[in-house]
Amino acid sequence: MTTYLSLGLEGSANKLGVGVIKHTVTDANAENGFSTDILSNIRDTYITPPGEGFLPRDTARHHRNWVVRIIKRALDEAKISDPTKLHCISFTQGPGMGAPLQSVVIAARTIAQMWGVPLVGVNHCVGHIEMGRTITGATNPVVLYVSGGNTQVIAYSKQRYRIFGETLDIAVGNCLDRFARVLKIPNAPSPGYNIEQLAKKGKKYVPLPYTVKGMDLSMSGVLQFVESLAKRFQAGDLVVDGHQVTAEDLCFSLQETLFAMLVEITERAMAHVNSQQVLIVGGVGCNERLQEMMGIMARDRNGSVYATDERFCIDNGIMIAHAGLLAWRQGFETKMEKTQCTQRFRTDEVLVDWRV
Amino acid sequence: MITLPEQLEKLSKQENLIAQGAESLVYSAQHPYLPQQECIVKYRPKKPYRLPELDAQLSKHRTLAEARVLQKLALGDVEVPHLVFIDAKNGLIYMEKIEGLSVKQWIWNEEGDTEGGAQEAGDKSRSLPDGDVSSLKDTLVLVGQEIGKLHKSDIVHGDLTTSNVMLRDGKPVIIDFGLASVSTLAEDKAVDLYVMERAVLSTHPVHSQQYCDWLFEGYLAVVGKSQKEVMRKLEDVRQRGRKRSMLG
Amino acid sequence: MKFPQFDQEIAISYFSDVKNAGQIRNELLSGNPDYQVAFINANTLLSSKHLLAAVYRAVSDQEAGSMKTKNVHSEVLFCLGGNNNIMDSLRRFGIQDDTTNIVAVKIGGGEYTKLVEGTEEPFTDEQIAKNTDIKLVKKVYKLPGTVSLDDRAQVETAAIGALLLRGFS
Repeated sequence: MTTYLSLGLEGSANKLGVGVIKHTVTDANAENGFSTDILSNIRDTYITPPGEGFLPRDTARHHRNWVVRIIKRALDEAKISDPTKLHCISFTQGPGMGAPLQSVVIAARTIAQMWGVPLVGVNHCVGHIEMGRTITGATNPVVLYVSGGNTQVIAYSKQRYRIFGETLDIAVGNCLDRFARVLKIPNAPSPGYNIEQLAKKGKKYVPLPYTVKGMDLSMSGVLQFVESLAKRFQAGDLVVDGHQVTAEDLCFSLQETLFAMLVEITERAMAHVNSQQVLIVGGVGCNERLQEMMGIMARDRNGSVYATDERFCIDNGIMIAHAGLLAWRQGFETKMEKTQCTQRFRTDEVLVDWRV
Repeated sequence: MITLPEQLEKLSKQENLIAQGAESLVYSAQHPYLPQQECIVKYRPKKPYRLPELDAQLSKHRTLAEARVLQKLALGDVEVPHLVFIDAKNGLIYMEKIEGLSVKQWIWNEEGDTEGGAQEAGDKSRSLPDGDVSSLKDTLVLVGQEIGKLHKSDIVHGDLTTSNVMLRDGKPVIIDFGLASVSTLAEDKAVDLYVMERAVLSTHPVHSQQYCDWLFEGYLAVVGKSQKEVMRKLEDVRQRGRKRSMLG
Repeated sequence: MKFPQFDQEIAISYFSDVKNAGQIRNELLSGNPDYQVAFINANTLLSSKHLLAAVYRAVSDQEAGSMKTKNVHSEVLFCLGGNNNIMDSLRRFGIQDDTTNIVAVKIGGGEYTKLVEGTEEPFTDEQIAKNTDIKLVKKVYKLPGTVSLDDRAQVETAAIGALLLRGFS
């Protein structure tokens, strides 16, 4: 029985996460011949005041301020007194925001050199997918990856996570966040969470633009429309069909529309690849209404939905450690000169050679 | 959990389900006003995960959009099933039944592959039928021409595969416009063609290149002056694989 | 005959050499209850399918409670048309004083053939085609110039499509 340890660093957006993972290999020949232990999973989120989004420069500064502390905490909690025993340092190479990614990459390079541990650059989305698969046990699901920066429908095929459908403009999390700003919905713990709570109290459905094009979707139109409604609401002037529309109603209507679009493209992918499983990953995946709607669709097709809780669906370091260790165990390493981070990094660029 | 919509209870049976996609069910049915004949009914069932108001609105809108596309094409001399009836409120389109094989099945028959599974691309031992490939060529050129007529009408099909083209007396008829949209953009038409290329590659891997050549021969003959831009965009789409690189 | 989905009895008759179109029209205008029949100018029809599509729509809308005119017979005339202007369709597809070829449609059963003084012909595509005024059809449906009047199948597709899509904005 061999054990492997990796420390993973994540900071592609406003969450700074560090985690330590252990793989215990019981059968080196089997794809799933190992067990996973989460030794620590620490995160600190950079939260801005209501009405403001997070800017790259400020976010990077937050990450720089916190990274040493968080790494220390992660090692302590994992009871790792000698970090030179780590097998690899995994870090988010992309996609994401430039400055924040960069600040984390620098930390990764520093500790790698200090401890003489190899580096493994990880694709953020692949991190979400692999963590989701392991935590939920979903064997080969269609993956809906939804966050502030990404919206994709993915299915595994021949060592690639292939993108079947995606947003043609903005990500769903981004859409929700920007809407929250207009209404000055607080950003703690996250704008999406607060929208979800308000939506639960919404009663009136306000028709919004619905734009699914084949396997893809577009959200800039909905956003523009709902932002204008929100502004009218702020001005005290939002009446639709003789009904006074509340902020709760807007949150409700926006969620129902966006999520219906997501469920629709996911269903199309499921039909296309003949799959019965859906795995939802990414920050927006924490949303219980989204999980509920996806569940209704999946059950209608005799399938099932898998989702993780906020430890894993929100950006975190452990998923990076996990995906990094999987790659490293196949012989993958990112040499120092190749560790530049990249804002654009498509999920299907990664060779998923830890799967058959 | 598929049940026959109540409107079809007197015209069809559960067993007459021909196809089931993510979005719609296709039934074979008795013609609603020419009772000796048959027709096809495309049904968009309610999606329980959607709010009822949203669901009703989408279903109605998409039913109408598809019907309008079919009508526009029928008038534009593109071979498509003709409309029999539209029940937009209930998400039903009744249309002409096209008798014949899909191009996919027909190619498989011509190739002599009666089991019809996708063959491995490396299986070069399967060659085109001895002697006369002219009927394969002629037919695929005709299919390409029909697609050209489609694009000339500024309609993008959205799901061009060899299952979505039927052969009626040897002449291609394009079906299933559930994902179709109106577009004048060369980019959209290029993506349409790219989808078709990929579909031919995955369904008919051995001779996909030859088949695509013949399809394009027909297409280019019809499409005229927009062809350069569409073909250029097609090159771009092929390079990109699919879409833009992701933003963080 | 009946449509498989509905119970209503549907009777259709073709009359040529009609002498009393004017009288029928007067009775219709005065609302005579014995004249609950759709009287159609046969020259506006292309085929049995053309008419049946409209009759089916009228009966279907009646069942759904979505008729736009007063009764199912006036609805048949409205359903033949391709636009939302009721008076327009009733006028264009209905009979005038000098109409000589009439198709009568009676929905729901009952005697009606005696109301027409003319020669009853078999209601067939051949009979209908004999008297189709293709230019009139083009006019009433406002068919685009791209539809060739020589291609009757095309004209039929255009007309039926127009009546099926009528009213859906």
